[in-house]
Amino acid sequence: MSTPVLHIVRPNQAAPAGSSAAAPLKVSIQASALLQLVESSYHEETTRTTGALLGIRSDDGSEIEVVDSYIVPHQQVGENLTIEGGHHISQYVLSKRTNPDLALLGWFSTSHELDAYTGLFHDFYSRGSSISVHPHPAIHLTIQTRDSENNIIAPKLISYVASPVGASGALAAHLNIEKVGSYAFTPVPNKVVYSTAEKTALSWIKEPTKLALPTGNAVELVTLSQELGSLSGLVDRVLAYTDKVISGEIQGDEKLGRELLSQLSAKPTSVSADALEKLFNHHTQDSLLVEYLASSIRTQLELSAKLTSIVQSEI
Amino acid sequence: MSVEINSSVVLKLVRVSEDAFPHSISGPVYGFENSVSHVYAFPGNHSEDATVRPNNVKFQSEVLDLLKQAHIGATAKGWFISAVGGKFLSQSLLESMLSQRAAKQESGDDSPVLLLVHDPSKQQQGILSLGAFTLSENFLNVATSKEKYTTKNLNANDLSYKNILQEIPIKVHNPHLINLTIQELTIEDDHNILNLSNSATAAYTTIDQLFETVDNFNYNQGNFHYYQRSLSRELPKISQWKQKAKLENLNKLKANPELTEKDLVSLDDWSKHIKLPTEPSRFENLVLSGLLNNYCNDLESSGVSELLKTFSTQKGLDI
Repeated sequence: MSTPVLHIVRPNQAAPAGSSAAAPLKVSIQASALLQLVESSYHEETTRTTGALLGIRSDDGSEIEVVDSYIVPHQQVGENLTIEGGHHISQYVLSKRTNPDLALLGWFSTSHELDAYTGLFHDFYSRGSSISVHPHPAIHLTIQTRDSENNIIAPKLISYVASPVGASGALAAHLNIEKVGSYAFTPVPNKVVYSTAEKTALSWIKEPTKLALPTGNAVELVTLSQELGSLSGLVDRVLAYTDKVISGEIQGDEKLGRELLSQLSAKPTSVSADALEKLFNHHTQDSLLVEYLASSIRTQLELSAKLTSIVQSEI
Repeated sequence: MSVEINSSVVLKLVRVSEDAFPHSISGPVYGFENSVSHVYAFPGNHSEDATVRPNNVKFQSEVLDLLKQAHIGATAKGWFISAVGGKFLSQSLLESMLSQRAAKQESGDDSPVLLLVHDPSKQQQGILSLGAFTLSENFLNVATSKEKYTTKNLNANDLSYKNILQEIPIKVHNPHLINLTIQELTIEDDHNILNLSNSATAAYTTIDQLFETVDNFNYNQGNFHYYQRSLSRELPKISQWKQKAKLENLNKLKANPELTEKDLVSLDDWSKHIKLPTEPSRFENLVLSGLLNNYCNDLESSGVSELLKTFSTQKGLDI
């Protein structure tokens, strides 16, 4: 059962004991962190797996980037929730040692429902013992892997910021109406970002046929031949398209036509053909020289190893 | 045998080495049986001895403790290292692989120590260059034997600079949910690998490293030559001694034909009288040769693909 979520227009309108800094309005998740988060939903826990999010916060706190995460075990017995704070602290210290730039951003949960415990968890990360996001507000990220009919779906990530609601502070304590873990959660947009390297790796492992990585020195040529194959596939598609346009089967797109035309005249005009030929020849010679250097050193190496073993074996 | 690596590990590894590039980075990897499920980077600087530094050894076991606390079934599998052009082989690395293997065997775990090697410079060119290695049988036999790295022992175990490590094929493991996640992402392919001269920067670095290693190799070879020279000075002494011993034996036999073998001087006894210089360890030579071989292979394979691209572009432009 999910409890209804209270939506407030501006999430960072501070409530009485609310945080002073502005809540993040833009959440980016690095691709490597994303996979790590999704993988944590395989972790066996009774109801949900939760953990901390680490990353980088922009100076004004309005943008954050999730870089890393780790699971923090917890126990949920009846109404009681125990989060293993000690584990959280050691993991945090360890991550900080590796990358001192990382800051605690908030927490994630593999349960997409916001319930009574969500507030308690959120309280732990916002105001927690020795390490908390204070003075910044914590973000909460849910990873939904099943729909309402319990079918597996493509993981959906929703990020939230929260403002505390209800009475707090000295007066509330005096009146004995102070409650922990009351928050209003507001979704904020998030997006996945990737670096050049992550992009290369992702586009490789995206295809089931490429999951077995090439070994040895084959990798370069294998990649090259695959890229050429995919390029020639693209050319075929363009050809098929233009054929259809010519035969009148479909209406041609002017913009596309112009684009193709400009690509076809890609032969450089700023350099003369002679100069270009010279450049190409130089480049080929440079490459050949490197090849020659490498292969002659390798031959010497082999010779040296063989000769040493012959000389030494005669003793 | 092959090793399964979770795609999240591949991505994290790629990411941390990219962030550290052009510096090298290393760290422990954890997993279960033949799979790798977790990877961490060592704190601090990542020079060659990263895997043996006491702080890092401690770090490695601390991470393992935390994984256990979080109920993640994993054991230490080895290390990853990011290196340009095959610059990962070093004596300290091989030694720490040996000692981890010994520690594993003591606790009844017979799985090999893994070394994942990633080349971040290739990544810039649009190539995913990730390899998994383990110590070869030949190397293990030599390293655990009494004679250690003598030429004779290397020959007996058929160990050369080419088979210090043994490559294990990698299979990337995409759990179902990860696969769904990846398929949802729109990744545009920018065909980086097709650009001309995209390996030039990496080639410069590798050639520099190649020259440096050639110098080191020559220095080491110089030491070995010194040994060979002093050996060749001693060798004639042996034959001289043998000659003398033979003569003595003959004289003794002449004087008393009744003498048995036992009373004569054995010709094999020369080692009691002449001390030959001991052969210096060939370990460094092995490692340096391995490095040179890596660099040369790398330069050659990127050179081949560069030439291929150059020729086809030239043909395509009709010049």
